[in-house]
Formats: sequence, structure tokens, C-alpha cells
Amino acid sequence: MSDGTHYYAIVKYAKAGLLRYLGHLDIARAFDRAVRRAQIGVRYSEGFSPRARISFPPPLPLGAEGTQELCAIELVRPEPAEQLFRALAPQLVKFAPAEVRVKRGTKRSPFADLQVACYDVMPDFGDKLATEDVPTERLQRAVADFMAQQEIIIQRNTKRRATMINVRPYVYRLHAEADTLTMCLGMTQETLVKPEEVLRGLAEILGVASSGWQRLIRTGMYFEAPQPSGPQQNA
Amino acid sequence: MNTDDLLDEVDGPARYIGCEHNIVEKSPDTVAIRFALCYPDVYEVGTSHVGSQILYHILNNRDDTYCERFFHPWVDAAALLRGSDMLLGSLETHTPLSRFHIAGFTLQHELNYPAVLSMLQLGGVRLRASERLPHEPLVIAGGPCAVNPEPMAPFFDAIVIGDGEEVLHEIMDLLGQSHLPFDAPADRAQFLSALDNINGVYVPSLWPLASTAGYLVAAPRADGRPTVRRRIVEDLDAAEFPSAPIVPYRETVHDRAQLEISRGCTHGCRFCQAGMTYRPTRERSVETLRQQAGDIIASTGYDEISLTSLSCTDYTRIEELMEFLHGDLGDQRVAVGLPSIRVDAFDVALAQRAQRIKKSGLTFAPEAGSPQMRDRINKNVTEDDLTGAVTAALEAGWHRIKLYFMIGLPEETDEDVAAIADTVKRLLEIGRRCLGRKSGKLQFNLSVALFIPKPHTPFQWVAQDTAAEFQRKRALLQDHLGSHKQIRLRCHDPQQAVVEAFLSRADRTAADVIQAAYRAGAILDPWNEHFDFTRWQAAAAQHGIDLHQRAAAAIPLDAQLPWDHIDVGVSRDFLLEELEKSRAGILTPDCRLSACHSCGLQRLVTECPAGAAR
Ligand code: SF4
Repeated sequence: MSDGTHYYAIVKYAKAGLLRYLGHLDIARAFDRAVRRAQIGVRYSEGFSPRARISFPPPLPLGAEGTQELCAIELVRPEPAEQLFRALAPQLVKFAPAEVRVKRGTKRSPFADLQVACYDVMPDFGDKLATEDVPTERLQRAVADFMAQQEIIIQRNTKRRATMINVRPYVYRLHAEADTLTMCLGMTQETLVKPEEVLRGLAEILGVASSGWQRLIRTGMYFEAPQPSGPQQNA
Repeated sequence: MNTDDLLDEVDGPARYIGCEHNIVEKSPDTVAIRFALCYPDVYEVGTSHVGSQILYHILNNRDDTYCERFFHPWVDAAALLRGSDMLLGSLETHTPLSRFHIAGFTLQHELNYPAVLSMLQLGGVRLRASERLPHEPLVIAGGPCAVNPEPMAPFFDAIVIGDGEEVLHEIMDLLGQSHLPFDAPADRAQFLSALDNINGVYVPSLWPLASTAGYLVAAPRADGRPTVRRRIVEDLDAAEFPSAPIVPYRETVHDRAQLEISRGCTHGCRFCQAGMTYRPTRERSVETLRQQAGDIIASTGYDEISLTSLSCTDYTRIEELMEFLHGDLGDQRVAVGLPSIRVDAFDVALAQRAQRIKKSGLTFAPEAGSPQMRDRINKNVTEDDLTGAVTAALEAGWHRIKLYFMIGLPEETDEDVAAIADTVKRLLEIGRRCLGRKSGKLQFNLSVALFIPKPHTPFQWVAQDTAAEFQRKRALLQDHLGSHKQIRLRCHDPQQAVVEAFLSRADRTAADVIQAAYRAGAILDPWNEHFDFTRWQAAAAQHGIDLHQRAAAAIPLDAQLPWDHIDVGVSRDFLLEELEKSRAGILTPDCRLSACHSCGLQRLVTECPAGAAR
């Protein structure tokens, strides 16, 4: 729009079951085609080969699920959300769309202000932990230890170099229950923490070498900004 | 190990999940027949195949059938499957291949043969038809390579020759009347003899063989039937076509909608098997195509639709069709692609109109460099056509031009090879003049195929160059071309060409070689990185066959051929005549534009539409 206002249809959907094996580009292609089939008034980019303007928050790793995933479709003009939902839902059946909301924004990316992502993670610290009698208790102790720290330094590799960063302030919540860790992590450019990085931090505390996951579910993404999280006595 | 563990470990797991838009979901308990539609290559290749899309649609339109898809897994997943207790399953319901009533393979390329064996084994089905137990799936095949069914014959219970649309229904109707799965060998045998009575169905076990001049050929049958005749869908306009094809998530080799506008080609290039075995040319009407294009775009959301045919711009009402498609789909930002255009300026103008939205490269196939060689292969293209077409393309704004040539053609001289280089250099000069200061953007991509003698073509009898000779000619070509930033040369692999030539013209003994090569590790052989010539060489040697010698052997003109009992329509007399004309450098004009040459097809169709188009 000429006044710099953008209108988005924000679709809430699930990436569940076998769809967790779809890569980010696969999903982008699927939404592009669904939007074309739905014949809604989507905005196209300018230039030589215009593309429908559809954007996504930071992608999940391959194999991870998401129960409340988001997608923003930029609209030519605002339209009633129910109408958009009626057009889009039949085209996105495999993604079980839950709702469409229409959002106004002035930024290029409607997801630039997303603050927090929450996850349920079934960690995989190798055989060592699994064979112990009370793995949950040990995990809970490690979580408490993690949250009591001021700094959790993690090495992050970019294309060019490796940097050491303190992820602790942006781990807003970390909790262990049975075999599942619940975590809420920063997700802006400045506060981004990946679940894998939390697992690495925990692995170090636990004194185990490997830190993978068996199951990773992003359960939600939020625009509200919490305070950076300081050391906690009782996690 | 379970499926999830497998998917966690393999490259590109999205290939194996199914769940695509437009996938057909049925409850297997509600159907009488479960059909496994098998493509012996990986998902990205197989999902792009229009023929398989048609069959999936036709079969699933039947209430009594559920058709599910199978592809060959990529090497990593295949190895994991082999080492596990899991079986290859369908994309729709993950049911193992062995639990289906019938499995149908498409044979698009000779180098895919080992993958057929691999899929059978990964799916828990015995490799040879003669070994299968009554309850096991019936394994059938079809596709362009089936015109010489012999090398793969022992692996199939039946092979369909020609267009599948009608004959498949006949097979399914027959299957629908049977009690499935079969429980006694006699039931299965009885079914096969009923299949044998369907036109266009070849049941290898019912054809006795005899050995002549070192080849196994068909011996006279007790009932006196001389041949299996190719099935031809005469009214293509009425033939079923999927209006809602499956939309893959992963990027595939043809990641766009495809619309089959016509089938068959009568230009009569003498090396081209499809040009002989898909006759006559049949077209869908503009009205039908318009409807189909609209439906496909609405149901898939693709932003590009390409018109498929052996030669798109031969379509009688091509301009009208393009106008309509642009009118109908242009507002929806759908590009219309013309993948195969003739070497002439008129077609360039058409392509220009087609590519209003996206401008990808443009492809021409002059095939040979010298006018003499073009006459010999019946490629009716002149030097002027080529320069005219390329000039038109450059003026229309194309900078990337792909050129298809072939080396190793019968009686080719070094001058013929050098002429390819001269032609390309001449085009480069034209390009430089046309583009002036912008000529840095110019790019000629040369794709050089190696000649392979194919059954049912006028060159079916001739020798192939040896791999060493191919190498020499390739070096010669490179040498004559010199090095130019704007020319890129890609040549097919000579060793793959030798194997392909061997398999194309082989008799039934080749089945043992294919099986031995598979046992030695051959699976995804069209993929260069997974092709190993030594496996084939050793497998052939085990059976007393010298691959090089077989490929490079000329077959006597009076020999009975292993595929003589397959009547594709073009007659032996016509092929011989064409071979003689080739040697004399005489052209045979397209029968759509001149007189009927009585190629033999007139025996198979009520009225040859190629002739009738005049
Ligand atoms: S029968 Fe005649 S018209 Fe028909 S394809 Fe053959 S040559 Fe052409």
C-alpha cells in the first residue's frame, strides 16, 4: 500500500505427523500453490519474476513438529478473516489450519516482532542417561542448575566464523517433566536461542557428550516480550 | 527399525511421506483390487512422468480399484531398507508391495531395468514370474521400452505394448472377475491365458522361443498367432486425462503442470524410436485442452504449464491454443511453456509469446552438423533454418540457447563431427554480431548424445560406435570447437551408451545379465554417480557375452530379430526402405504434409489420422 501499511492474513496451522519431514522450501512451495488455488487477493513482489508475498517465521529443523505454526500472506486489500479462512482451509487440509487473522503492519516482515517461541522437547542424551534409574530427577537437577547460572556460553557457528555467546538471558523458561523438556526461548534477531543450544548447555552440565532430540515440537510463538531472564533459585 | 527411524536417517525424507495435495485416499478394504503403480527411479523423476499420472487417475477412477504409488528409494534409504526387516511400501498407505494384487512398472529407459528388480526385492516379491507363488502380485509392465520386451520378459507376468488407457481397463475388468488373491497355481495360469487373449498384451511365458544365429527369437505358437499388436488410442481427445494431478512438496525434475497436447510424431527421424513407435500423430482438440488446462491449474496452483508432445509446435492449431491459454491463464500469472520447438523462426516467435512471463533457455535439436548427415537421418532442417531460428531467438532476447546434437550416427565421418563444431562456431559469430557489446551474456549449451541403435527404427540393424570411438569423436569435436567462454559442451557417457545399446537390442538371455548386474550392485544406473560399467561387463562376461562386441555388431538384414513378434505398426519393409534411403541420403517427408508412405500403420488403425490430417 502506498501509505506503507500492509495487510496480512496470518494463518495458524500445524506441521505434524509425517509433514515434519518437509523442509522449509517444501512448505513455502505448498503454501504458494495453496494460495493460488484459493484465489485470494495476494500481493506480488515487483520485478522481473514476481512472487506471491508469503512469509514464515524462522523455520523448524527437519523432523521437528509445530502445533501452532504461522504463515503470513500479504493481501492486496484487507478482507474479512472468515472469508479468507473459507477460501484457504480446503486448500491446506494437510496442514490442518486452525484460524486466519487479519493483521495490519508497517514493517516488511510481519514476523520481525515475534519475541518468544515455546517448545516441548524429548531430549536424547545418548544411552548413558536413559539407563539410569531416575533420569527425570537428574534431568530436573540439571535444569535447575542451568537456570541458576548467570551465563551459559554456547559456541554458534555462522558461515564465516564461530562466536561464543551467552544464551542464558533469553532462556525465559525451562522445565523438565517426565521425559519432556518445556522451554520458552527468545526469537528476535538479538535474542534468538535454538532448542539445540539449550540441549548442548544441559549436556555439559550433565557431563554427557551427545545432545540430540527424539522429538521436538514448537508449541507456540508470541509477540509479547518478556523481561530477560536472570538466575533463578527454583526452576 | 520402523519407518520413522528410517525417515530420521535418510537424505530428503519428504520423498517418502506421500500426503501430497490431490493424493487419492481410499480405504483399502472397500476395493476389490489393489494396484501398485511402480516407477523404477526416484520420486523426483517418477512424479514428473505424465504417463504415470494418467494411469494413477484412470485406475483410481474405478470404484473397484485403489492405485497406490511406489518409487525406488534413493541409495541411502535403499541400503537401510535392505538391512532392515521392513519392506518397500506405498506412498498412500505404506502397504508393502507384496500385499498388492497387481504391480505395474513403467519402462521409460533401459538403464532403469535393475531398479525394477530392486523394487521387487525391496517389496518382498520374487523376481522371476516363473518363481512367484499364486498369491503374489501379478507383475506387469508397459512404456516405451516394452517394444522390445525380451530382456525384461522373465520378470513380468505380462507386458502391455502401446497406449495403456484402454487396455488397462480390460485387464482390470478381467481381474475384477477373478477371486483375488489367487490361491492355486492353476488359477494364476488360467488368468494369464485369459490375459493373452487381450489385444496388446504380451504374456512371455506363453511364447515359445527358438535359437537362430545366436539370438533367441519367438518360435511359432501352436495357435498360429504371429504377433502381439501395439494398442493405439485412436481418439486421444476422448482419452482420460487427470484434471487434478498430485502436487509434490519436493522439487521434481518437471516441477510444473503438464498438458499432453498430442501423441506421436511423423517427422520420421531415422534414429528416433518414439517417432516410429508412437505413430500416428493424434491430437487433443483445442476445446478439450483449454478445459483441461483450466482444471489442472485450478486444482494444483502451479504457476507454469508446459505443453507436452514429441514435437509441440507441430500441433495443428498451436497458435490458437496458445492464444486461448494466455487469455485463460495469463491473469492468474501462469506461464505457458513450449519445451520442444522446431528449428525455425516461426516457432521462435511462438515461444516468445509463450514465455511472456518467464524466460528460461530455448532449445533446438539440429541433431547433426552437416547437411549430408541431416539428410541421412531424415532431419529435414537446413543451415538457413538454423541460422534463422537462432537469429530470431537472439533478437527476441534469449541469450541462453541449448543445442542437441548426436554423434556416432551410421556412416558418420570425421567431417560430419567437425561440421557440428563449425555450425556452432558460426552461430556464435551470429550471436556476437547480434548482441554486440552484450555478447558476454551469450551462452550456447551443447548437449551431445551418443547414437544408440533402437528396435523398430530404420537403424535397428546398424552397428554402434565403440566406446573408444565415441571418446575419439568427442575429443575431435572438442578440438574443433576450441575453447570459448560462451560454448559449453556436455556429452553423454560412452559406457552408459554401450549398456543401453546392448539392452535395447537384447534377447531374453539378457535377463540373466541384468539380474547379475543387479546382484553386483547396479540400481540407479541412469544416475552417472551410481553407474559402474565394470558391473555390467562382468555380468555379461559371466554369460559369455562381450558387451562392447554386442553393441558394436551390425545385425544381418535377413536375421529374425528378438522383437519381431511385437508389431508396433511400422513394418519391416518400411524400415528397410528407410535404411536404404538413409544410405543414399534421400529424405522422406512427413506424411502429414505429403503422401502416405504406407509405413505399415494403416494395418493397425481404422483410418490413419496422420494421413487424414491433410
Ligand atoms: S500409415 Fe501413412 S499416414 Fe499413417 S503414419 Fe504411416 S506413413 Fe503416415
